[in-house]
Amino acid sequence: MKVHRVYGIVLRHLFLLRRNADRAFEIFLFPILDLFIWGVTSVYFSSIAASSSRPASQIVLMIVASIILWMIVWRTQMDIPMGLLEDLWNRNLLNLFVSPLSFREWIAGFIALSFVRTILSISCASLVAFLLYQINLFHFGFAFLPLLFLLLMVGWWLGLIILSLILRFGTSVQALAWSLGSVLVPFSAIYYPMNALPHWAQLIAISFPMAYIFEEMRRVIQTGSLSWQHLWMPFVLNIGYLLFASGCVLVAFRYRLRRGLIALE
Amino acid sequence: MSVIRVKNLTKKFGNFVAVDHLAFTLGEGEILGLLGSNGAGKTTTLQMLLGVMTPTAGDISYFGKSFFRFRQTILDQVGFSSTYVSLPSVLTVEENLTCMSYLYTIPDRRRRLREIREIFHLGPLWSQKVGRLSAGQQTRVNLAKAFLNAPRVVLLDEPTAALDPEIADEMRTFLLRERRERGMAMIFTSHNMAEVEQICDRVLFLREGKIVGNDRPDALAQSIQISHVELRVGRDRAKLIAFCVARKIPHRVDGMNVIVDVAEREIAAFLQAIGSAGLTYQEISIAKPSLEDYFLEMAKSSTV
Repeated sequence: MKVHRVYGIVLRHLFLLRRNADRAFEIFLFPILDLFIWGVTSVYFSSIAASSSRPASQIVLMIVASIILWMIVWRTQMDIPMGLLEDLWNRNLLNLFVSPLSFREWIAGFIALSFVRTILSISCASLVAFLLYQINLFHFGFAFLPLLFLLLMVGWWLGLIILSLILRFGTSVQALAWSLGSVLVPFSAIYYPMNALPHWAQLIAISFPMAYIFEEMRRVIQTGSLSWQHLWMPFVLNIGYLLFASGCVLVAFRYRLRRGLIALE
Repeated sequence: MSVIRVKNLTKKFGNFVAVDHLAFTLGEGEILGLLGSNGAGKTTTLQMLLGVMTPTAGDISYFGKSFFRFRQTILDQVGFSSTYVSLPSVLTVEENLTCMSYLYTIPDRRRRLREIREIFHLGPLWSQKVGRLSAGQQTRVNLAKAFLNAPRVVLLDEPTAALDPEIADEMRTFLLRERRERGMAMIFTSHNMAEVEQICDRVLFLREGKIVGNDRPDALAQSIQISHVELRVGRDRAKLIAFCVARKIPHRVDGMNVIVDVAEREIAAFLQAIGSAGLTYQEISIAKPSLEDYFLEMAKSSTV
């Protein structure tokens, strides 16, 4: 083993890191996010344990349900830009757009695909949760369905924003684009209620639909019924973000057409 | 009615003008070659013709309809193939062509796929993954994709670049037959000048985004007016070279032969002059200017 050859490999990746700000950003982003999320979660659960206000089985149910419901967002937001990346890696994008396929049809295809894949993922995760922990999410009947739909909408607008970033800046920003969902996790109140967050973080959380949805999920688990009046706010926010994301994608696509679709890499 | 009509087509990237007020037409059943050095604007023009790049200015119409207003209807009748664009490598030929067939309005997809399999001799490759095919086979599949929708016009970007001579010849024969039988029009880019001379009815030569030549391939070649006179001179070789140097006649030495570039109308005078100088030659061959000479001449004049 020669040190200079190892150094050559290290140097190559350091140069790459310097050219890709998003990769450098990632080094610091994930430790901070993990510390924040699991710190707040631990504080919340220790406060529950101290007050012994809830049975342990309900806490386990809340955690597992949170994991499965967040999977909807994660899966959907990943599938939409992944379709673009697959075509870029295969040098196939031009083949699609020299056909009569319209931009809207292309996006609709991704959304339909992400819907099917999400359903499959959720079904599998629900089955595993039942087999391993005897947790039956379907116990709540249709109460979870509106929440699932709202989280699908979150996945769509997040996916469209990531798609627009890749369309605009190319694959060099894909790591940063993928991180977008993770950046929103601390403010989504997935594993803890919104009031467990520091005040400044609560201000951010209320401007996104996710925190409202997970608050309602916990309420459904506690009371067994869904309150429709709590769903208006996340629905309106989702519509707003969907419009914003569609605008971003359209602007990015028009930019890409000005540069030439073939130049996207 | 022209199949494609391009008016005033311009593409600028900041201050750089990639395509500069291009205007041309493509007639029914015509094969038009698009030539030019790298960066001349060929790919940019093709991208605009296919709607994957927005022009800065100008109009494109297909079959008398504005491309920008009737994009979908028009692209349903246009085929495209490029050596530089590929199909997903993990899918089989059949899967790829089936997916692509759904993007076009094809009345009987299964029948059309069977026809395409026969026309392009894809039977043995049908169930193979595209990534496992040789470069030549992949090009054949790409061409099959371009003809899937039985297009009225096809745009081919160096379609034979990765093919061996035999398959490339087969493809050219196929393209010429399609034109003859279906009156299909084509725009064709290639760096193989002999191929362009063989297949194209007309050539547009682009330089710095402008059309600098627009004629039949043989007419463009003749516009050069310089022939290559190849003389086998034996022991007079050194004297002949000195003769050319003294009169500043362009020439090059190839073994025992001296190749002299002379204007076609001056060949007789040149041969008379070397005879008067007492120089003899054993063999002579005169090569008329080719499209390649035209290409090199135009490329040379752009770098001056």
